Amino acid sequence: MRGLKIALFSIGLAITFMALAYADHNQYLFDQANQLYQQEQYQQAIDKYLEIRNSGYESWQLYYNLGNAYYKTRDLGRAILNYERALKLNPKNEDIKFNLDLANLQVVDKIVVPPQFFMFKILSDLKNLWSLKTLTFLTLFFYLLLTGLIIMRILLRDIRVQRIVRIAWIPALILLLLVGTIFIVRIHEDSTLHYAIVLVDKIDVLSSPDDQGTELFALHRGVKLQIEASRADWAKIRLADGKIGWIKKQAFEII
Amino acid sequence: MKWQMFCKIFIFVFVIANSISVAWSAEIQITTSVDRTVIGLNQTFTLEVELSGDKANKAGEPKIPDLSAFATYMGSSGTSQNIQIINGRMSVTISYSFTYMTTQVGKFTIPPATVIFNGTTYSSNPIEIEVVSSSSGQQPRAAAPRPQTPSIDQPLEAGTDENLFLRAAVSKRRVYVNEPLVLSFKIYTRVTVTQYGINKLPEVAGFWVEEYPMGNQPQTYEEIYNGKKYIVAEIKRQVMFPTAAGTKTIGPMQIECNVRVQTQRRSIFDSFFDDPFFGRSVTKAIASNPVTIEVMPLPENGKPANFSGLVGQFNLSANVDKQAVKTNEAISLVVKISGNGNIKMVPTPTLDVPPDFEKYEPKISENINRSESGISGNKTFEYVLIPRYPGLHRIKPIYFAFFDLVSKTYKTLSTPEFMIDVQKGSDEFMTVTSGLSKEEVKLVGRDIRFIQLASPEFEKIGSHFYRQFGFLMLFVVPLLMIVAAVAYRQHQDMLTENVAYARSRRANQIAMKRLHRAKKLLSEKTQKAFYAEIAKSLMGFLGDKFNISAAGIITDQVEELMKARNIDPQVIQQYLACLQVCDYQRFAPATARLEEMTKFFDQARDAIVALEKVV
Repeated sequence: MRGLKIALFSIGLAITFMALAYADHNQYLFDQANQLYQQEQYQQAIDKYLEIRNSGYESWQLYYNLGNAYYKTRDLGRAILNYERALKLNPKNEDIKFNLDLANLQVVDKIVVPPQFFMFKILSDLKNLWSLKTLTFLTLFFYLLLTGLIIMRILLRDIRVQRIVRIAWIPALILLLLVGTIFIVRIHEDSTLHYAIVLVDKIDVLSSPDDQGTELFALHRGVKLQIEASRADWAKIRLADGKIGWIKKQAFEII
Repeated sequence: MKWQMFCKIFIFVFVIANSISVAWSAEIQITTSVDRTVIGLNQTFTLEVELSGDKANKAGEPKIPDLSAFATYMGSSGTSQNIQIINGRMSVTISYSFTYMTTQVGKFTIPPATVIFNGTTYSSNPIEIEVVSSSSGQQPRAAAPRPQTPSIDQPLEAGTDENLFLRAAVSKRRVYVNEPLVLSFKIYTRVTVTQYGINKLPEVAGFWVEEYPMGNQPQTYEEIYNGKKYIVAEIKRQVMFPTAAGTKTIGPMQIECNVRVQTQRRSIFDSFFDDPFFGRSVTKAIASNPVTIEVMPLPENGKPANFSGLVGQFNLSANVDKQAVKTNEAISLVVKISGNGNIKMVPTPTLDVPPDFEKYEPKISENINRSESGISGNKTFEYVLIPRYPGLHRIKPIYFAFFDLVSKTYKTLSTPEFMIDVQKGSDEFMTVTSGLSKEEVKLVGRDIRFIQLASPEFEKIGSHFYRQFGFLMLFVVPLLMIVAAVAYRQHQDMLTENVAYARSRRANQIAMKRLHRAKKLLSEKTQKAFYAEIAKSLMGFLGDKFNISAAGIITDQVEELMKARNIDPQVIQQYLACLQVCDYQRFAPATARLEEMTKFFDQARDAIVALEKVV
C-alpha cells in the first residue's frame, strides 16, 4: 500500500518535471524564434515557431507571432490562419484584431456579409466575448458560487448568513445560466462548426465534388470559409455571404 | 312667280354641280404602253400601266394582263406617282412598270389591264407587239418608246442560237444546306463578240453568294461542245451557299452582246456608214438556261447542340503565346479555323476564361481563297487576356461543330485545355482593391503590429479543461455536498425537534456508557454498586428507547411495556431475567463471586444488544 503510494507520487513528479522541462524548452524555442524575427530572418523564425506547435503546445502569442512571420514572408493565407487561431484563444486582444484586419484587407475576394439584425449581432458578440477557456472557468466559478451558497443556506442557521444567501443566490443563478448557456453553445460550435482559410493563390469552387463540376466562382488566398461537409478529397464550403460550393481539401487548412 | 324662278335656278345649279362632282370623282383613265412593239426573242420589255384621275391614288393596283402565252413575268420595276394641283384641282398620275421577257416568236396582243374603282371596272387599250427571232440593233433600254419605228431587223447570217449562247453551269445539283456550289456563266460563241453587257443578273434568292473577282477582260479559251468548237469566255462565277432546304431555281442571266457580222455589201454607203471595220455590228440578247438545284436538309440525328450551321471541312487550332506569366501581363490566345466552306460565316467562338482574367474583344482576320472547287481559307480570332490574380488558371476548350461533307456526319472539334500558371507580379501587395473605404486605405499603408515577446504559457493543443475528469468532478462533488448537507440538516432537525428520536438515538450510547462504568466496578467488594449500575443501564436504555421516565418504571411494568410493542417474548424473557438478577443481587447479601458477575455482565450486554436489534 505504501509502496504503491510512493510509486504513484514519483510518477506524478516525473510527469510534472517533464512538463516543466518541455515548457522550458518551448520557452527557449520561442525566445530564439523571436530573436530570428527581429533579425528579419522570418523563415527560420517560422521553423522555430512551428517546432513548438509540432511538439503539441500552443498559446495565442505563438500563433500571433507565427502569423506575423508569415505576413512578413508574404504568405497571406497562413498569416490569416494563425491570426485566427490566436484570436480563438484570446478573442479580445487588440493586436491580433489589428493585424488580422490589416491582412484581411489584402485578400482579393471581398465578401460582403449581409447586415445582421442588431439583436442577433449583440448575441453573437456576447457569445464570442470570451475564449472557451475563460468560459469554462466562468461557468465553473458561478456553479461553485451557487452550490456554495446553497450549502451555506442549508448548514448555517445564522440570520445574517441567511440574509446574504437569500440576496445573492438569484444573481448567481442568472449569471450561471447566462454563462453556462454560452458555454454549451460554444462547446457545440467548437465540435460542429469548422472554419478554414484558403492557402493557395486561387481555387475554383465547383458545383459538385468532382473535377467535372461547373465552376461557380473562384476564391483566393486568405479567404475564410466554413466547412459544412466533406467527401473524400472534397469539402463543401459556405462563405460568409451564403455562397456554397465544393473545393479540394488541400486548398485550405482548418483554423 | 319670283319664288318659282328662284327654285328653278336653284335646282339647275344643284344638278350641274352634282353632275360635275360626279364626273370629277368617278373618272379614272387607265392606259398601257410598252417601251417597244418589236422585240427580239429572250429580250425584255417593259409594260407600263398608267392610272390618272384625281382619285387615282385611291384606286389600288391594277390587275396586270396575263402574258404567259409569249412572255414570262420578270418582276415589277417600280411605281411612280405624280400629283399636280392646278387651280385647286388635283390630278394624280400613277404609273406601274412591269418587266417581261419574251419566250415565243410571233405577233401577240397584250390584253387590257384593268382596275376596279368604286365598283366600276376600267380597262386600258390593248397593244399589239411582235416578237422576232433575233433582236434588232436597238438600244436595249430606250427611255422613250418608239412604237412604230421598225427595228433593224437583220437576221444574223453567221450566228443564231447555235453560234452564240450563254450557259449557266453549276458544280453540283444536289447539295446540302450551306454546302458550297460554284455557279459560272460562260459565253459560248462561234462568232466574234466585241462587247457584252449584263442586262439582268441571275436571280439567286435563297442563296448566300460569294462573288469571284473576274477582272475586266474575261479569259477566253476553246472548247468542243456538242461536237462544235467554241470560244468560251467565263464572264461570271460565284460560290453559292443555299440557306434553306428545298428545290431552288437559279434564274437566267441576260446579257446583250455586240456581235460583228460579216455581211454582203449592198452598197458602198452601207459599208461606209455601218461598219468602218468591214463588218456590221449587231446587238444580240441572250439568256442563260435556268438551273434547278435540289437542296437537301442536314440530317437531324447527331446534330450537336452548338452546331454553327457550317458545312464543309474545317480544322480548329488554338495556341497561347505563354503559359507562365506574371499578374497583369497580357497573354495572346489565337484561335484559328481553317478549311473549305463558308469561312465568312464562322461565328466568333465563345471563350470561357476564368473570372480572374480580363478579356478583350477578339481581333478577327479572314483570309479567303477562291478556287475551282469552292471557297477555302481561314479565320483567326486573337484574344488578349490579362490575368489579374495569381494562381493556376484553366482556360476551357473551345468547341466548334460543323457538318463534314466527306463523311456526311457532324463533327465537333475542340481545342486543348490550357493551364496558365500566373505568378505574383512585383506589385502584388501594391494592388489596392477597389471598394475600400477611406479608413481601410489608410490602414493598408500601415504595417502590422510587433510580435509578443513576453513569455507565454504553453498549453497542450486540444487539452480542453471541460473535457477532463477533474472538470466533471468539480460539477459532481458540489452536488454530492448539497445532498450530504441536506441529509445532515435533516438529522440535526430531528435531533432538535423530536425528543423521542433523540433519546432513542442516544439510548444505546448511554447504555453502553453505563455498562462500561459497571465493568469498572467488577469486583467482589463493589458488587452492589455493580448490579445497581447494570440495572440503571438496563432500565435507562428501556426508558430512552420507549421515551418514558426510567425512574417511574418498576420491573413488573417492563413486561407489559415490551409486550405492547410486540417484542419477541424470548428477548423479553432474557431482559426480564437480567433485571430480576439485578433486583435480587442489589438487596441480597453479597454472595456473588467474580466469575458469576462477569457472566452476568455479558448476559446484560447481550440483552441490551438483543433489544436494540428489535426496537
